[in-house]
Amino acid sequence: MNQTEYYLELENVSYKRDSLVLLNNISFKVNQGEFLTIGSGDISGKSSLLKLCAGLIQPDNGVIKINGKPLNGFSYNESQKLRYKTGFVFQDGTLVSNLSIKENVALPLRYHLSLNEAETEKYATKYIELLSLTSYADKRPAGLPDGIKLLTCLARALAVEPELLLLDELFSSLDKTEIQIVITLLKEIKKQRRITCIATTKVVNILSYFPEAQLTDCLMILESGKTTEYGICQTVRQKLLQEHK
Amino acid sequence: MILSPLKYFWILILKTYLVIKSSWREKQQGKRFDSNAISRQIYFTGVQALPIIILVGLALGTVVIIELSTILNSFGAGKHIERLTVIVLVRELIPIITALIIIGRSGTAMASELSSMKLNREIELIDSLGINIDYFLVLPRLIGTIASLVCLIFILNAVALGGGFLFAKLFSPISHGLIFSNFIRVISLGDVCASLFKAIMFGWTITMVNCHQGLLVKKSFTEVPQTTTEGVVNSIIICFAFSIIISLYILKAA
Repeated sequence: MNQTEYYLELENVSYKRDSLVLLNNISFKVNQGEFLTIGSGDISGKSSLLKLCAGLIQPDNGVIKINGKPLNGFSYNESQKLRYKTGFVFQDGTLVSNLSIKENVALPLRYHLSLNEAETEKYATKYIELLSLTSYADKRPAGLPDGIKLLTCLARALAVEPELLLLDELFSSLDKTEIQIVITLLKEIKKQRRITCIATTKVVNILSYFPEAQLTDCLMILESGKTTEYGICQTVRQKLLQEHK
Repeated sequence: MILSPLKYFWILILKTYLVIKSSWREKQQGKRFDSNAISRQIYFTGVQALPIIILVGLALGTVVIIELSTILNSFGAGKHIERLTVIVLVRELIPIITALIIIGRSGTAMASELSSMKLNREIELIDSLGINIDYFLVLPRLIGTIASLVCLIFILNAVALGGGFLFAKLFSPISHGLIFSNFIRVISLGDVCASLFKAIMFGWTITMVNCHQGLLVKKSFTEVPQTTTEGVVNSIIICFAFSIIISLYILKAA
């Protein structure tokens, strides 16, 4: 397969923080439109891996490529464009606290696109409605349940029509109704647009209730910062289930 | 020892250059500027500070006019009251006192707001959206604070001279000979320029110091009060330094 056909490539990527090695020689390739789920124990650099993919932090070793071009060779404009076109849902549902839910969703649209207020609001409202956040639209994030904050992050990420969607343990903090809403929406978006998605979760979730299975094409397991399993979702999951019987 | 403040000042200049450079680049690329943030900054820094500014202006104007008229009359130098009052108030006291009030109100607010945003990972979030922090967060505060300080200093000048004159007339028999139009007549262009220039430099200092301090925090919420205090102290020192330098320059030029 031609190298440039992959949307995202990681080659021998290592990353350490405060002398603690979080990622050690990680390599994988994700095609455009593919959904990769990364599972691991509690401390294994899942969030750092997603930040590396978004270009928010730099690896200590190895190369990360987007559409065949190394991230460290990106100009300022290219990296800003990449950030805009990357929908990142942080694990703790981080939102700008002095903006309402609707303003949070519209924030990247307002900044990057020269749309008028009505158009911006139309885009934002579309995803607010799709994720059943209408009743919270004018509220500030403080005091809202974690699930609502995470759904707002997802609405904000989807509103920019991203090329790459990064979901950091999104499903762990949602209830079953919210999970169903998200799965249905992501399935629809996956069908309509070839959006590349990387989600992280804990291994314990993969072994029990694993709603991402409906979306996941490939599954990768990390242990102590190293890849232990990587392949087609069903195959890797079966192997894991047998190992943990 | 002397290098540390110079290094700090150099960092502020460098930061300002980066704010202007990145803001220019973002503007050229058609990124939307948050003009509402300027309005909010002017409201918090300027409008909400008006009551305390008026109160301070009245007290300061009254005290300075009464004291000067008493002392100068006892020396038989009563004809210099208006000019001295203008120098003391318009050129020296009012700009620095306004700056001290704004450091206490808005400087601390800026430093603590930005440090809380950083610790809550809101800064990281904004950055991850491809939004330039300088253009989105620092520039509106810089413009809003400078605009507010310019307006507040001119309001405080008017209140201190006008209100102070009235109160001095009411409470001090020795001030009965004063004529208000004389105060206006003796204000020179140099006084207005000194006041204006100080307002701009103080606005720049308060914003850049406190934004810089706010964004310095790393891990813990206990850093918030520390960084806020440092912001206040550094702002006061730099504002006084500017005040002395500008006043000396005006004196030398006059």
